[in-house]
Amino acid sequence: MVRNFLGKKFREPGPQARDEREARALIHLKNGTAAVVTELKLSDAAMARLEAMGIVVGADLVKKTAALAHGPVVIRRGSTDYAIGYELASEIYVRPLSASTRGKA
Amino acid sequence: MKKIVLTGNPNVGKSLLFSRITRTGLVTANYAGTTVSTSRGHFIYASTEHEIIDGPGMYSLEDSSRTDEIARQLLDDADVILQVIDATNLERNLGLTCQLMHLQKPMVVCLNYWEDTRHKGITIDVKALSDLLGVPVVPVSALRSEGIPELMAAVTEACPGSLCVRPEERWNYIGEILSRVQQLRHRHHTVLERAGDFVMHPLGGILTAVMVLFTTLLVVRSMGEGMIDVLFSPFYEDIYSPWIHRMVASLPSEVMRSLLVGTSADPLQSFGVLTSGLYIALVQVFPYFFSFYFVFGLLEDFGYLPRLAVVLDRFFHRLGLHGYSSIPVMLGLGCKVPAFMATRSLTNRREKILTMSLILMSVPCLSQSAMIVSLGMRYHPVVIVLIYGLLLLLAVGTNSVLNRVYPRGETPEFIVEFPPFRMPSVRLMGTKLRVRIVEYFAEVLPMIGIGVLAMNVLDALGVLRFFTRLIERPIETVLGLPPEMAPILLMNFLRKDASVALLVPLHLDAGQFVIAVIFLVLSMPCVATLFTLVREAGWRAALMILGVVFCVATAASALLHGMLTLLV
Repeated sequence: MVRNFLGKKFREPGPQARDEREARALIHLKNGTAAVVTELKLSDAAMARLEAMGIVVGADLVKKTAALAHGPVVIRRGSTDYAIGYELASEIYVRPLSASTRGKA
Repeated sequence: MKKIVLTGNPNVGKSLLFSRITRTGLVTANYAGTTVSTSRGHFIYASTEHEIIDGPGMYSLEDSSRTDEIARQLLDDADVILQVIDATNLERNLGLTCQLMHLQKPMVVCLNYWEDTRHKGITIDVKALSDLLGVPVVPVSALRSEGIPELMAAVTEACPGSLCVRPEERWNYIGEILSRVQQLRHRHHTVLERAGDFVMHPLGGILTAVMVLFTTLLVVRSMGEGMIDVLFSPFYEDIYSPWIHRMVASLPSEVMRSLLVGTSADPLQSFGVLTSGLYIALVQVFPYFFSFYFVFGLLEDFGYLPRLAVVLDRFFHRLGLHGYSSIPVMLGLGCKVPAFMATRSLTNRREKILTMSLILMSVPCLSQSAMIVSLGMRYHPVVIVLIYGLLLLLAVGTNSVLNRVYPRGETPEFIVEFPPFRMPSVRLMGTKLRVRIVEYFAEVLPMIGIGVLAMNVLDALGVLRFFTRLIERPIETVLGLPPEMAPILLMNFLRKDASVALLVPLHLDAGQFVIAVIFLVLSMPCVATLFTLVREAGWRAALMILGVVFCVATAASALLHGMLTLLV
């Protein structure tokens, strides 16, 4: 435990907690941002379909755009673009890549 | 004879490669899920005959749709697996390679779209890749017919692969392979890639969709009308009709003459096999058929359809579907048979049933549309707008209700791969159009001939009079249509375009024409559509869909008749 400048105690986030804090659902990722997949909260069938396209935990991708009114999210994985339904995209968690680690997706 | 099975991810050019190897014409398109059934062909290499089978594409060996099941079954019977890989997307394609290697069958890997690797700044060390996989790897450009002889030679050297990776390590291992065999160079976006980005922009996508749909309608209509006015109508009236009448006039039998050329000079009223039959098929329907498939083929080969599916996704959500259902529905604008077959790529039965209902209800097939537009213009353009507006309204309304009452299972997930935009090849477009035209005439001419013949025979036997007496009262009372509609309903089952043409001699008013067309479009499918529906959905589901659609057709037509009676 550490204290802030007002003397209030708080728990210092560990490295893993900091990663989790930064991770967000794909739908909340800014357009044009490269990110790495951190978690897939999906059914086995959906997981299998994404896995076959190489969208697995640890995979790099770029969110290109999203259709209006909760429409599909468009991502680039490797050299291919995919549209992923809004519901599915809301269960894919990603962490934005910093500028130094970008360029792999 | 060795059995070679072509397999690979969707939209990697398997069907095109099959056409090149076997020198046959297959309908190909630039989007995933074009092939939904199997095609078999033969080729001879080094004095040995080989059988080659093209099947639907698959992302993995696990079955998730009917097409995956078909593709998986083909692999069980294969002597040699020929995996076609999109060389510009090596990473994702190698995922399936790893799974195929577990089958321990002789295998060859074909790196298709090899010409695109240069444009995209991709360099692949083919020899190193072959060494790592333990199977022959051959770069090919099916589009340009390059590398085909080398591929056929490699088939004779096929061997089981040496790659054996556990599923959880698969993508890491693929990453390692890529780092050893593939190099990427930075390059700027091409014009087509920029166009692809614009079409995927939220507003750009909607704007493009509106423009594409509007332009499609405009081109199909003006091109179709132009062909009728300049080519087909003068040919029929100035050359064919006088010639056929001269030929038939020499026949001694009055019955035979009437059967072949009818009794009226108007080709839409005579209803002879060689006059009305040919006039409907060639002059009234074929020009629109040609222009529709010309424009549709351009959109297919350019790679636009999956992008349109994304734009339409939210609308289809309201009907309990995903945007990908829009591709079968769009195919249904041409003909319901390939549209129903395209529903095989949908993963969920609920989604298939709802899509089939939408295909049946939303728009008439192209042949019938051509006749509706042609005859509707005799009344007023508003009549045509009214018919299509009502059909769309009924389709959306019925599917919304079905969406609420049909039991919900696991919700299918919407994942669509965008093919790169490609400039359509004139040669491929020509092949595709030729295949579709041959299929059209092979189906339409015998069907119309049989239909007209059956009508005359039934009339001679008194069956039509009996049938007419049976349903004339309900048709008059409920729909406000003349009793002569009864035989037209029979014809509707054989050819839907010909049934609309048969409305001409009834001299209906505009209101009756709208009611009759809506009832003819919805009340029953044509025979080809019926059998395809039963095959794809099963008897029970097919009867359920047809029952619902028939009830909607009757209720809507009766309601319309009631409203028109009150108004007039």
